[in-house]
Amino acid sequence: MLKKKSLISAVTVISLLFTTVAGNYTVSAVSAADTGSTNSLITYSQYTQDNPAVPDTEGKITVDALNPTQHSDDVSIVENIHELGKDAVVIPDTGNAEWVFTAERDCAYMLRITYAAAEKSGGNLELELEIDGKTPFKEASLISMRRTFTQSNGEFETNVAGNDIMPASEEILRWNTYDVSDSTGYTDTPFVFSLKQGQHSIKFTGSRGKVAVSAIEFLPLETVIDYAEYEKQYDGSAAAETDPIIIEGEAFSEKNSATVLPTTDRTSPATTPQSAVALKLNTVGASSWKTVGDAITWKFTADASGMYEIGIRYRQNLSDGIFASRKLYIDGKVPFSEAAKIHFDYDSAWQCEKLGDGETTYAFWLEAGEHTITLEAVSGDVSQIVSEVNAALNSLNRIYRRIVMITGSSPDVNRDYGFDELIPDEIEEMAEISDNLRACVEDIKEQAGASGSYTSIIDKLVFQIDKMTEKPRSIAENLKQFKSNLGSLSSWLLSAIEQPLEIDRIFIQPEGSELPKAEKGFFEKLAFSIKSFLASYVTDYSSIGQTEGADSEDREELTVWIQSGRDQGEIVRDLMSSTYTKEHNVTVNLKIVPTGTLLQSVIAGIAPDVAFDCLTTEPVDYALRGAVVDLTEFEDYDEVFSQFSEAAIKPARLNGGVYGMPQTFGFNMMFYRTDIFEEYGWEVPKTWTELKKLIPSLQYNGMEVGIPHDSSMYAVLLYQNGGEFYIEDGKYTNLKSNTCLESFVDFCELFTLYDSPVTFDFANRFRTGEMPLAIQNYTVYNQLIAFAPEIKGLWEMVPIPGTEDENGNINNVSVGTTTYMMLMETSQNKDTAWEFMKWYMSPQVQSDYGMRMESLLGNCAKVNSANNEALSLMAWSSSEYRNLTEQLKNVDAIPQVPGGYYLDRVLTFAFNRTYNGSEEQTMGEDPAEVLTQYVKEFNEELAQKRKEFNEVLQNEK
Amino acid sequence: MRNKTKYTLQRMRKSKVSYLFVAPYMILFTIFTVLPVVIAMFLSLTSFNVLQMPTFVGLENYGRLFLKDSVFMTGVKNTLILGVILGPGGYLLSLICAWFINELTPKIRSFVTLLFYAPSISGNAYLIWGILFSGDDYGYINGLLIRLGFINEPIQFLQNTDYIMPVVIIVSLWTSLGTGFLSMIAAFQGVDKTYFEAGAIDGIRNRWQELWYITIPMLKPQMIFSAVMSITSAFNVGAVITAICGYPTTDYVAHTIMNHLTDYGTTRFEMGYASAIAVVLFVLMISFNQFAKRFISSIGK
Repeated sequence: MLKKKSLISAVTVISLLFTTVAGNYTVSAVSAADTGSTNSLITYSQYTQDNPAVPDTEGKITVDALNPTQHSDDVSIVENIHELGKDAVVIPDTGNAEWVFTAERDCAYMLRITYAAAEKSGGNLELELEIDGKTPFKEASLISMRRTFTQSNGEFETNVAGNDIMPASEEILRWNTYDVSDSTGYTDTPFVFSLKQGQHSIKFTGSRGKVAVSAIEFLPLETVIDYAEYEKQYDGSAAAETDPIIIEGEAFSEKNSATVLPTTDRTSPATTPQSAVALKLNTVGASSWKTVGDAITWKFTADASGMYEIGIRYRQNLSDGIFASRKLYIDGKVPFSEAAKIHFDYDSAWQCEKLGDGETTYAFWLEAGEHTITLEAVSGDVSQIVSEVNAALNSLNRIYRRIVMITGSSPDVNRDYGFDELIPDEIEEMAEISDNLRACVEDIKEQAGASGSYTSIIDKLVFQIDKMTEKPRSIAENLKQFKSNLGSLSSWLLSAIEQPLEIDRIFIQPEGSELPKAEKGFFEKLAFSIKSFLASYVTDYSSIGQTEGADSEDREELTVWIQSGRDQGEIVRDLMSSTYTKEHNVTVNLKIVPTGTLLQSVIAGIAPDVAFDCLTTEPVDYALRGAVVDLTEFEDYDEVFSQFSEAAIKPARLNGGVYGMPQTFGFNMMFYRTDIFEEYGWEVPKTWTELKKLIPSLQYNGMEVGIPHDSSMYAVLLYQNGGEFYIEDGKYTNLKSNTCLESFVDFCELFTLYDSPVTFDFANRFRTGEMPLAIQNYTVYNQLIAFAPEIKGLWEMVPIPGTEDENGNINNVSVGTTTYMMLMETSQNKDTAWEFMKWYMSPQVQSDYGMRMESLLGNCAKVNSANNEALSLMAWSSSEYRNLTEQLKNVDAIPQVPGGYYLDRVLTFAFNRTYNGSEEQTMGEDPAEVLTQYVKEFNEELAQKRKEFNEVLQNEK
Repeated sequence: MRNKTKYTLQRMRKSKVSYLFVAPYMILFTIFTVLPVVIAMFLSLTSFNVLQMPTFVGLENYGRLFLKDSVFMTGVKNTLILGVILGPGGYLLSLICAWFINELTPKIRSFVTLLFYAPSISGNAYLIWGILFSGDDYGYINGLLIRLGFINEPIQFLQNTDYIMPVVIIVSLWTSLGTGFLSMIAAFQGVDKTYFEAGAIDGIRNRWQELWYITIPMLKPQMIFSAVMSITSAFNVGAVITAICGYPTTDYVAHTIMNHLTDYGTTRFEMGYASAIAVVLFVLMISFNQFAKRFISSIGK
């Protein structure tokens, strides 16, 4: 499988590669957004250039880890932590520790940390690293270490339908070693740190998770022998005399990420175990095993000593036109250098191959006894092209900005700007970049075979650069296309580094034995297809979550309806079957229904016990008609609901009762482009006054501010001025009060006087930089991550501007919307249903749900859980989380009252009349006047609704 | 009297096979069309909040509908405007387009037919008008007008009361080329060529006379079908408006009876009142259809 042998130590490769120096605007690694200062840090390529590597072959430096020279108060030294036989210094995510050590001579080392998780909690462990008081280079600012998990042993429990139940991942606490390396995979080997002779200091600052560190060592660079030498060592050893050992992929013993999961393949009858009727967890990986660094370990026992071969039945159908790479460890060691980047070629079908480089098959020496085999996702041979493209992209972005400074963002295509005289260096640099990229593409094509789909975007860009450099006059007309090509190239970067692989079985067999065929014969396949086709008629697909054991007699039943997508449903099902149904004696029937079905089901008397994903308005609407349970009736209501913000509960309140449990909660935040603000030297506005002062400078530069013109935005202004929407518990609207009218005038002026656009596509304009500042619901975060990867790290999400009172206090309250879970009145098992809702909204389950969503759909699938604690457990970066919690302290919501749907209508009508009327000055429609006209109508509607529900509203508690 | 019943039963028994054949359709038609209409008529006399049992209130809903509800009157007005423009308008458009297309060669004809029929096959294709009329300065029409220098600020076509109704009419006309149009094309092709020869001998001098004296009379059944379709669809306009201009439209300027019905049925959960609206719509539609049928029967006589 390994087609190309590694050439030389990757260090030198990398230093050769980075011929271009990146500017300040580097699209950086994950951590760059965290600390604003990272922008000015050098990159690893610059670091290696400045510090040419002189490997230390003589010895290592051991830092006395248990005796930090200084540390924060919350850092502690624990003896024999978890009874694992070692003492450790424990650094929580708020603490830091620093050590002083001496280097004997000028040398280069790799940094090895022996660590363990001090607490079980899921995500990666992260530490910020500083050497001699500063971050050595950008990529090393945040080091990310893996936890260890187990997940059953290949034996799965089944549900009624015979489908396998996804078992929960369990974390194991134990010592691991980590060689500090690039977590993004742009560099494939551990980082090399250069140390001058003398005293140094190293400092760890906790960033995520509680880390126990037992040893810190600077080690000489490891050299691994190549296969030729390995083969020579065992020359003459005979093939082992034993039967082949077959390991099922899903029966792994360990993994280092909770999100790597067993999965189901129903396409091939040759996959084992297979069933035409039930869903068997019969393979591992696929899209869940693609992040660089994710590793799986299997255990096996060899009966006899001797030479073995390793065969794998795998499928790599996700990265089109390119191979996926894996690093192979046997008993925790890479046996020879070629095993560090084994290729798994792209094919839509299953493949069954022996590990090798395409010509020779690798033979491995195994002693009789227990062994482990580990496969780790690595960027391998694509790391080169990816890091090259990354560097090229930085330079090209800088050149683009240089050109724009000359032409403006919409250049005159008919004018000759004389680029060859103005920017000759840049044009030359572009030609150089284009040559580099072309060489990379050639190289990767040679390794991956003929298919060009992997590199097509680079080809396109290279073609365009050539056109622009050959005829500089054409730069102007190509500029727009150039910008969009740069955009697609940066989104390509994200996917290009992914290494998806799905494994069915691993064969460890004596050298020279035959592997089974990858696929069954035609007739067997046909028979399987017919069987599964017939079985599809008797399978109930809408009910995805019937989970129970055989003893169903004394079990309680619960029906739960999910009104969102199938992915969400599947994840809830998995979470439920792995923990909830085991611990509780309950059968849960999970169904995915289209939105709008709930109402009909209530009329028909077949409503579920619990309904997920209900709209903000629904709890009160259903409560008025007696269809949902008041949750305050439950004893532990206070305790459970203390997990949510009051703003998330507010819309579900009616007459002292609460009729829904908040599920998701999204509120307005302010998004701004850090690069543009820095470029123009603007301050991020903290108050509306500051914002209004900023608007003219933005407009002067052809930019604008994005403000939504919906009721939530009006509510923000109203609440900041201390107003309310209703008086007397929703009997009358308060809209004609002075505060309401003044706020409405303010609201309208943002559009009439300050000329903010009314209709706009936020993500697009934010990406191009036309709208560098906007107020949006924070869930837009997901859209930006997925839609605009090229501005990753160039924007921030901060609390919204506030209104300053006479004392100088700023009130920056924001307004959010909630989705709810409702407990239906017709439910027979209300207590059980309540338990279930509590379980689902618990921080642990919510964060598990969030992580599963992210592992399934990528990091654009952040869940805006209403549980405040769960939010902290999700994969937000620390600055994002800080901003979110800061705004979360100050949020509110629009209350729901009978007839409250009229509020939106009134505000829209009044706004439209004010805005559209202001075009023709003759009309001169005054916002306050217009709004007042609607107040009577609104009050009548409220009265009408109160009349209808008089009885319910009278029974006040 | 008794004899008469007996006679009827006898006749029915005699032709029981025919009844058997009609049965599947009649059963389904009764359950899914007749019954709901009857139920709606009953519900229109009650106050029904969807989730609890309805209570009888007599004609109160109708009283409120005609006397108190000014928005309903706007709805009726808009529906009639749309009905008058889209019914005959869409109908004439269908007829004229069908006539023109009929003159083309078969291959081009089937292509152009597809082109014209596409809006109604592809469900929500009218959404593209949302982009055309978008209030963003990148909306197609706004973008064009700004570039040509007619305006500086984008016009909010879909929120400004001056523009909503014209936009709705344009879009609805576009979508109204539906089934009626297709049946007319089929009918045009079904006209026997010998009639034209006979007509020419009898003294028909030009294409207009051909159309008026031969083609249209031959087309009558399809034309009635088409008329019924276009009137029904004109009265049902509602979803298009919501999809393009939002719900409800500013100051209800393009609010139709259909919109009003959804408003009361799904936003306010007043099903009794919504049923009353439905009944009024039903009556309005039937009477217009009757009128259309009579009118078409008189053509060419």
